[in-house]
Amino acid sequence: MGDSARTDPATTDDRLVERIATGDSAALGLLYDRYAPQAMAVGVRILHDRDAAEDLVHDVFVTVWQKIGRFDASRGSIRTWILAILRNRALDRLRSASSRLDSGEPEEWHAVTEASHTWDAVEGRLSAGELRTAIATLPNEQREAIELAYFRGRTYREIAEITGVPHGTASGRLRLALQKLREALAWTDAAPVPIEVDPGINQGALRQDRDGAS
Amino acid sequence: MNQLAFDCSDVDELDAPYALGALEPDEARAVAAHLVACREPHARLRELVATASALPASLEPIQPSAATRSRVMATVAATPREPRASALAGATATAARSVPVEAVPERRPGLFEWLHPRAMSAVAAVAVVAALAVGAWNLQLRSSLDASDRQLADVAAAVAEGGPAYRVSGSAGSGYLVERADGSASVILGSLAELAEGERYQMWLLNDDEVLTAGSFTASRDQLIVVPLERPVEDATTFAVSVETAPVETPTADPVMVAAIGG
Repeated sequence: MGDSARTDPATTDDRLVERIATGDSAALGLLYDRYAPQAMAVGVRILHDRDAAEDLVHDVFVTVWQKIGRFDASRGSIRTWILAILRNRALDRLRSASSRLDSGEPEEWHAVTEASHTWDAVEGRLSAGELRTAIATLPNEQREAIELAYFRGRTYREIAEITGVPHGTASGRLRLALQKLREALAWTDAAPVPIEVDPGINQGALRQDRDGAS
Repeated sequence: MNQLAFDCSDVDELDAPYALGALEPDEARAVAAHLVACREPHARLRELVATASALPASLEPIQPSAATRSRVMATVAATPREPRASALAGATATAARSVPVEAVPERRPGLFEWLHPRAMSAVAAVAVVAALAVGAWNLQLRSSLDASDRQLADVAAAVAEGGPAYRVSGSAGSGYLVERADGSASVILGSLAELAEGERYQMWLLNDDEVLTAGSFTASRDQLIVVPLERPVEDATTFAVSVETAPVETPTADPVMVAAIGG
């Protein structure tokens, strides 16, 4: 999908959202073409299963179609929304595989708001390679912590258990890793912009309690 | 269970796990509750949340298969949307003013031409059993089985024997397509949209090469029906239902319900 499509007034993200809201399935097709590859990448990274990731991408875009009315453009971009849904569902599948209940669906729509427009802030100024390089330069223990938290859905307590360190150390590694990434992105002039955090809308809050209560 | 209560130092200590969604549920709720009440800016937490949200950009995009796109579009064509919510207002408010609250998707001619979704996994049999429970309610109320109930019992037996079941859904209603060991199949459908006079629901089985009629039926709202298909599923990859006004050999309208078969 070229940049021209994103700047064409008829096919900007905002316009596609509007068109989907009116029942224009062609607009959903354009949105799919634009973001399904990134969604697929997140799904494959989390699930390590291409077929499962394809199913997930299908389900997420059908849900976007069904529930576009829940998308709040004032809280974040459609891309961030799609990827947050994808990630949450992928992590749900991982947890289901570990006998944890699926966290269901409606709440996940709120999780995206924590990410706000950050992706938009880095879009166009940051290549995947630059960010990968920044991650690769993290100390091993910090990179592992980020991997376990973001792409494996582990809590910091679980990370502490897995890596054999105190809870505070696990939490500290996550903080140092994020701070170093932020510094690296700042160096490349692609620093994420601080955002307004919507309290109560953190993905962690969406986890199922281990006793099954939500 | 008592709720956790965090102060600023607690939140600062857990800001990174919060940003990454890596808190336990009660901790995440406590952080959120604190942020609601706290006057401090918690700037570092905001920066960490922003940084964490950029992590997907570290992945190289992967193109899904063409079949997945086809499957998405086929499902979308037969899937109703939730009523438009006020949340869409905001950045899209201008356009929203010219949009009906529940806009009806435009009908697209020739939809069946590209309705060849990749086979997807069958739904869990337990979901079918749940649907059948509605039928069981009917069975209990009646002293004798009528033809429909016998069909229902037949389908229930197929499910009990491990026959695959596929979710059927769309703008007209929803239910399940259940396949028996001998290849025959029936659909269980409920709360179907009312048909206009002269209209019938027409069933279709599709594969990559052809579209075959599988029978037709009528139904009224609030009625649970079981309809046997007139031909075996065999190599069909998709089951679909359209509304027709006359017997036809190929569909003349978009599907109002669809199911992907296989998996």
